[in-house]
Amino acid sequence: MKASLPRKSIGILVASILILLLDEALVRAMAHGHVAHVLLGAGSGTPPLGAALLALALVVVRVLAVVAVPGALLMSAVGFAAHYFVGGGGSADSTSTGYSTGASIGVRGTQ
Amino acid sequence: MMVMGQTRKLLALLAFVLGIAIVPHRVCEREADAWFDGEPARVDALAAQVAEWTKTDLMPRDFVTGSSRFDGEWQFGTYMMAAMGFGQVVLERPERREESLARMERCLDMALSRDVRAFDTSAWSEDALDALDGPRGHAAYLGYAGVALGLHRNLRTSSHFSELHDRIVAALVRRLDAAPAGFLETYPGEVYPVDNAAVFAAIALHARALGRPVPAVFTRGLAALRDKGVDRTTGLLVQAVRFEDGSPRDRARASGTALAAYFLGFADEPMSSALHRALAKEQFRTVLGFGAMLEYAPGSSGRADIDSGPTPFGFGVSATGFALGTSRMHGDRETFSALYATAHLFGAPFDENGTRTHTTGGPLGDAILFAMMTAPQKGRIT
Repeated sequence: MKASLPRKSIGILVASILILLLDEALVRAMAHGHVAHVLLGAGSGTPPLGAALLALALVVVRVLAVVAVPGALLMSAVGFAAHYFVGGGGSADSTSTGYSTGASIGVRGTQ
Repeated sequence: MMVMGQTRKLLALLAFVLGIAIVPHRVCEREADAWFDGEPARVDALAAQVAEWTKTDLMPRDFVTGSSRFDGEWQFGTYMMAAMGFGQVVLERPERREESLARMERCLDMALSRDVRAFDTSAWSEDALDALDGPRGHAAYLGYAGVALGLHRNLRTSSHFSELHDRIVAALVRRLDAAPAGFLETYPGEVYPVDNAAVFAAIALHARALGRPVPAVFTRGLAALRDKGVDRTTGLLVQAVRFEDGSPRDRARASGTALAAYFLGFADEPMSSALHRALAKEQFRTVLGFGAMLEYAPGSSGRADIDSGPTPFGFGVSATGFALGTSRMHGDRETFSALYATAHLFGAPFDENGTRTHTTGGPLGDAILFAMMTAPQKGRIT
């Protein structure tokens, strides 16, 4: 039943942690930068490409880290819980059951 | 098993949606109450960072708007907003009076320096302070400087700023009295009601500091602002009007409305409150619990510019930031919290060595947020 951990839940968990770490690293690296002036000044001129890309990266990563990661972590937790209480059907887990080929094979094999 | 698989899939999806809907804005607004209530630890950390920024001489090249005028405006705006923040700290925290006043005075000295006012000198081809006896507007430079000087005068009645402060306000009163429609020009041919709101705040704070009644032109000017500057449909402030007759040159917009509501909080509480209510009613929206202000009235759209900042999906960065101040001023905790969540998300605060900076804010962003998140609550100044 618990021969292997739910791979997709682990993947989501790892990806979430990586995004959080990337957000922390970007925030730290840019803490003393002048990114706001690029963002706020966008209306009156073309900002330098490098600065604009950095600003964009921070905004995208931050939105992912703050908005998407909590949902992803909760989804991952559900996957682990389902695997623990119900069983994974081989390597399948709750999140992969409906999404991956491996999960489908697992379901068929029990029928 | 097929049903179980589908149930798991549904549960996972539900968990994801719940996670997005419930967690992020709550995480981001967890410090909102502390800011709304003026918790010292929060305020002191941002104050320390703003003091750090303004301790060094900011140069126009530190600001990269693509326009030398706007670079200069932002340099001036950083010192001006920082001065307001430090002054507001004194209002709430008398125990920090001397330190905050010293920081405020450093900012005022810089804001009044020839280098920092060069952007205005360039636009008018005359220096605002050298030409105080002249007739021309300089509404933004003199108005904004006048507000900060006025707040300082209410905290320290006599200082090396007093004489200049008197002369600035006297010039504003005289020019307002002579203005055909009750508005002063910011730059030649350019009239912005929000800058005139700063002029009224400067006049009101000066009168209050000296224990005098406001001059008659103040009352007439406010009436003109209310009659010609406020859009009757939305209750928002028109962004630009004509000098000759006060007729609109631009639409009503949230960025000007929010900043004017902040300034008028020092001059005319009912009008400030009316503008804030219009913002909350017409422009305020939440997305997944994150609050923001639409720049243009619902049903209309427009371009982003230097006043609005970027307007993703119609939401104005400037309007959202300035509305933090009006929300705090008018005791609107709910709006403040939702707006704070957004400021936290996109401002990306970073704490280090007892300071807090907003990663995407830089000097100007930190100074504006400092002024807005310490905006005096009702009864503190009016």
